[in-house]
Amino acid sequence: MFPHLKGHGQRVNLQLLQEAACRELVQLLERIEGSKVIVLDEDMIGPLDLVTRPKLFADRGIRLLALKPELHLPREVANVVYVVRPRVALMEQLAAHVKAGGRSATGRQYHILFAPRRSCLCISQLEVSGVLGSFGRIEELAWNYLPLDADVVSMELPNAFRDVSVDGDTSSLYQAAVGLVQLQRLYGRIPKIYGKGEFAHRVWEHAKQLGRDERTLYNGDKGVVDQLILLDRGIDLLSPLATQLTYEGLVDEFYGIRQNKLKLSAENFPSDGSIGGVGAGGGGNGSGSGPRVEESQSLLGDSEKKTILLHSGEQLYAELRNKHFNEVTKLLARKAREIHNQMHATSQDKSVQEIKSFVENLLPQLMVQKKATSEHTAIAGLLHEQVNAVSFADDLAAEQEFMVCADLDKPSAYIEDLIASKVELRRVLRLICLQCTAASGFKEKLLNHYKRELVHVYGLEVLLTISNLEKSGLLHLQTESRAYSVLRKTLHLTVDDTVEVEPKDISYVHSFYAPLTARLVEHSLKPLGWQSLKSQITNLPGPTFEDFQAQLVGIGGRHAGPTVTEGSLLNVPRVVLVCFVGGCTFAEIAALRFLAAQEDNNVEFLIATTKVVNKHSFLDSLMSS
Amino acid sequence: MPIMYNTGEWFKVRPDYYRKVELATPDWPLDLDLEYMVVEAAPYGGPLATTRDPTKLVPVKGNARPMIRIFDTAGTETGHLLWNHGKLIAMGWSDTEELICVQENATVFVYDMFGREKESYSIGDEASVTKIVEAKVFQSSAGTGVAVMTTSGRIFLKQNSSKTERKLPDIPNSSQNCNCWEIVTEGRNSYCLLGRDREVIKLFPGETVGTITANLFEKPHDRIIKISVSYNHQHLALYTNTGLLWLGSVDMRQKYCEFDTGRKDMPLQMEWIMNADNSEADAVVISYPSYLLIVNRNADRSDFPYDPVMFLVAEMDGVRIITQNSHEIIQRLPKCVENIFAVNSQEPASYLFEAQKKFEEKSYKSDEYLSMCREKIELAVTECIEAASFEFCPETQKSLLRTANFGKGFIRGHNPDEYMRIMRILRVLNTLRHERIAMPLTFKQFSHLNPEVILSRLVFRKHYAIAIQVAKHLNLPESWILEHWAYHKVINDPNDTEVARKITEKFKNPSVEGISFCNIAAKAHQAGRDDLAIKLLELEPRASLHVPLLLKMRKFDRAVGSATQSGDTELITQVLLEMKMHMMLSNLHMTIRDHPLALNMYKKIMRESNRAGLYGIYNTEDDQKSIAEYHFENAIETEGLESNLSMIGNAYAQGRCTLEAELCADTSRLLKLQKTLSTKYNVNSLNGLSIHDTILELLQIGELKEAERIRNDFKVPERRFWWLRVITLSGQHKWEELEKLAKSKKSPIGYDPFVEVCLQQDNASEARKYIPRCRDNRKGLWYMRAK
Repeated sequence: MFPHLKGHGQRVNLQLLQEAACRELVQLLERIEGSKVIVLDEDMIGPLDLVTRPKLFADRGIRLLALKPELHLPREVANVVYVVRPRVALMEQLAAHVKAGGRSATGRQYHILFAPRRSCLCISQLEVSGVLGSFGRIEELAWNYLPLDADVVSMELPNAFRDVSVDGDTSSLYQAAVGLVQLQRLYGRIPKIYGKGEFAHRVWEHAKQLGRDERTLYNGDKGVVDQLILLDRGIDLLSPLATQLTYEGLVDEFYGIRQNKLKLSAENFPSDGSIGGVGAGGGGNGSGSGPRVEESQSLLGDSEKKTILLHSGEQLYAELRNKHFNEVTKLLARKAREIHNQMHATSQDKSVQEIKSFVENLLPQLMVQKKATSEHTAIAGLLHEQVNAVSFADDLAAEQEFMVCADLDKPSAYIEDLIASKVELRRVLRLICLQCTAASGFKEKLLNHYKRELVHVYGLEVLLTISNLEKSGLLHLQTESRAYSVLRKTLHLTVDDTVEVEPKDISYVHSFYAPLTARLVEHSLKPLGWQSLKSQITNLPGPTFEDFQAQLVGIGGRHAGPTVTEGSLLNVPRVVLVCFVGGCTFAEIAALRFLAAQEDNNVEFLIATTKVVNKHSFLDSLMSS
Repeated sequence: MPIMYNTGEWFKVRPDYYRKVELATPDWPLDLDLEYMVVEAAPYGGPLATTRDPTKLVPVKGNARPMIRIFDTAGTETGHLLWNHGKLIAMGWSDTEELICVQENATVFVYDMFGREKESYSIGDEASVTKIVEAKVFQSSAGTGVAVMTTSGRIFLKQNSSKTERKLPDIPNSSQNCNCWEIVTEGRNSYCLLGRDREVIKLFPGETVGTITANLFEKPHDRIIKISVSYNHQHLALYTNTGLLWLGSVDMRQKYCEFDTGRKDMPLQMEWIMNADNSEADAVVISYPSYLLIVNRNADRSDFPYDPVMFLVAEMDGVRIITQNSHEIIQRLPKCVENIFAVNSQEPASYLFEAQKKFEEKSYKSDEYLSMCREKIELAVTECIEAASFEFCPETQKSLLRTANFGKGFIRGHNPDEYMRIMRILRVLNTLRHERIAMPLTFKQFSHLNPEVILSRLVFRKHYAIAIQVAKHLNLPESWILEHWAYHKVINDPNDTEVARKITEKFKNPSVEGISFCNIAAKAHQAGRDDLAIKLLELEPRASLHVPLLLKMRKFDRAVGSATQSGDTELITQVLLEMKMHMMLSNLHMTIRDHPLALNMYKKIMRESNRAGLYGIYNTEDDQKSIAEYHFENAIETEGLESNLSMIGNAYAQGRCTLEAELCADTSRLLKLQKTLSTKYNVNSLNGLSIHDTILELLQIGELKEAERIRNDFKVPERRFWWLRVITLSGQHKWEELEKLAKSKKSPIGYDPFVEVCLQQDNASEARKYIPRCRDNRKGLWYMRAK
């Protein structure tokens, strides 16, 4: 159903995860007898889309609706199933529906599936509203990690970092731990665990505690995953704020990729007709996604938009996504030429047979390629305009100044100018936070200066936003350690020679800056890597920890067969699960994929994150009140 | 062919062999004389209940009230109870080994095998009012039920206390002269067979009236006096006052035989003997005083003189006979046993047995015997293994297993699983048959009950050590047995620390898996020993499991601690909600102070449900900055920022946020100023603007002086003021003034902004004026853009 999750020769097959999640939903639904509609919380549309196809619901005659305050439920339906995140605010809407429905339809049952956790707070809210009696089943849909791509799983919790750091609500940490146990249930015990950062440590502590109940996990052989590296977003706040320069990163920053889908207004693309029918000509790669899109479009009322699938199942995109943007344009040009040549080479000097086989075999494939190329050329064109805008280049220049630790201790004239021209607040705050992070904290005078400037221009309310940033650690006063400037040198976070095309080092993802997280992973791959790393990263916040999960051999129990000898293991790539607690960027993912592509490393990554973030979405979640 | 092994116990009822096997001899207490007693024994070698038979005259010793004494099969008293109620009509055992006693007013009392009362219930008002004359405890597909016959001749059935009773149809014509009755289960229904005079009446539930079957017997008789239904409810035996016996199917359509016992005395009991190797029954056993008669379907008989009093217990594969001096089981001889041990047996198993014996004697004849069964050696081995399972004597079992072991050496690729399984189970059975345990089970009964049930019966009898050994031996989980042992300790041992110590000692063994200290703690709580419960909870490593019990015990501080330790925010929320219901708010605040995670979650709950509550917490915490922000957010929501500013500022100041406090004061000053300026220049748009925007407005209406005053008042940096001037001037296309400004003194913001604003207004020529004064590295860019 989801071929792109299987990957090419990947040792971890995420289709299993998708199937497990899907099965869980189906089982819960099957327990409810009679006709049903599913009402979806807006935050659940994406997660649902990641693991199910609309056919699943169509086959069972289930309609999907989006959760809105005013909801017109079909009269004849016997069961209304809400699939929601456990948010108290939503419960009022549910209560309103029940009260409204009470008049129109009798004998109708309501049910709730909370994902990922049943919430007693929500239930008590329903009780207060006096509608709890109308709900039949109130269950838990334990979806924690959802497969995003062949090597990425995401919890789809955009506010995870904010909840933990600003509000002190660590639910996402606990859920991440539950998710890790679930992953181990599917893919086997992970023998080695490394990690850095307070919250990462907490996730691991919880996971270990939860794992105690999983006897079978520890009795069996080790699973496919050899190693787990848990990284706290809090140890590297620079990377999520930095501008990503990979193709995928840029697309996400400018247009936002939601669950592997990009929505752009249709006028940017040549009309579909000339290419030969999207639905029918989709061929192998886009199969099955058509109706789903229509469904969600009708949900969201967006028919002007064109949806483009962005995941490793799309051949061209898989090639382009992790490349530096400057390389992408070149690649696209070459691609276009190739296709052109192939198309035209055929028209001459070919026998009828050859042409026939070409038309039957090669042509449909070429048409798909051509369509993809034209789409991505259009997207690249749009990006090109944005990237060449003065503001983008200037921001990037300022950002890169900070990254090389130039003039960090005084107010940046560029930032002041931006404030004076009252540009968008988020843009200013991003640069201030970048400066602060690079400087490992401001002197009090400098921080106060910025605060005063901001209040003067944007009004007193900005203090509340700043307070959030302070709580999250993006803005803080200087302490003794200058972690960034030290690590920049010791871990070569910035490199002098910038290679954007066919790079040799992960720093290409930000042109010359290598994300700290990816660098840590890179170092840990070396022999004794983590041990030597340990002493170098003591200046980063939070504990550095490592752990082992050995096989439990009960008394009198036998060893479960001969284990594979070390020698034969050497040729098989190690599988490392890198878990980002608090989100990661596409650039970081690209950097890890780059590492995996290096043959010397002989490693395969599985990336787990709370959500794929970018500089905008990361700040947005922190800024909201 | 082999020499007699155990064949002395065999007897023939043509065409089959039967055997009467001696089980462990019961050692009844001296004061128990079965002759004057009513005895009810539970099947599966279960306990026996005895009480004085009120119909017999005996010298009453001690208490005049009847006493029910409960024994195990070895004659050890496990419990007794004084019958303080009305007239006892009947007793019986349920399939879960509970003693069921039925009283005259149709009240049912249920006891466990130690004589502790578990529950009591009544079988309907009608039966209770009219009183009952007889009662029967019967087994059905839905468990054990009780049937009663009232004085008015009506029969009621009740499955258990929670179900309602069912009335069977009335007896047609007259309810007089009903001598005997029996309950039969067919599928999901239980019905009654009743003997009246020469008829059998079937009372089927749901039918309006009973159906009568008459003329079953050919020979003359007056009335049927005994009815017996086989264990599997398939066969029926009737006995008349003239000593005639009728055997047939339970639906009475098929008659197996009619047999004249020739006895005139009343039989005591009559039971079908179920076959051990299939689920059929071929014979009945009838007990008379001092006489035992066995009759089979072929009307062949066998009889034994016996003790004056005996009690028959029907089992699923035989009938047990309990007397004052012995405990025996009558079984039809299983075919495989017969094959091996029968005289002149020509079966391969028999040859194999002999071969093995000769082999042990180191006799060459072994080979001869072996060659006689070589063809069918697999069958022989299988039969030996099977036969071993039917044997009671360990020596016989051993010799049969040895034979099997010997024989399987001649089979290529023999699968030893069955051999192993039987051997394991036999060991358990022999243990259970030991008089200390006194559960004489057959292999078939063991398999039918399944080991889990057996284990739970052992545990219930407090044979913990044996139960654990058995569980280990059969590879079954054993931790729950320890758990029960712990319950027992918790309830019976008064010393808290001692109990906790003993329990940890037993449980720390790493092979013990999945023990839940919480369950034990819950038991301790039920027993009213909260201190012990807490001690036990402390031993449980999984903090999340503590919470439900701690909440139940209202130990909120510990509950919060455990919940935060588990990290499960949902659990914390649950605890907090519970606390909110049961605690004073101030206490709650104080309790959760020490648990930051709980505090955070509480704040989050309050933020979503009751913002005002937040203030209280911040106050307790003396978190002035949060108080400031709390007021601030409220002010924004109610759009009353101005009136609240001093309060917000104060809180900031107390929270040592000097800058924030200062900015609040500034804003408050600004708001006042904006009002005066608004009236002065007659512009409404100033209110609520930031300092920056206020200056911008003023510059736009040309009030440079006023703008500069504000700039000085609020310490606006020169750079930003210049920016504002540049923006306004260019926005208003005052190009000369802009140039004047550029020349007035050295620009603190450089000249790039000049170019930029000109370009924004699409005035390239103006822009070019300033380019030469820009930073060198930007000049090229600006020239390009100002083309």
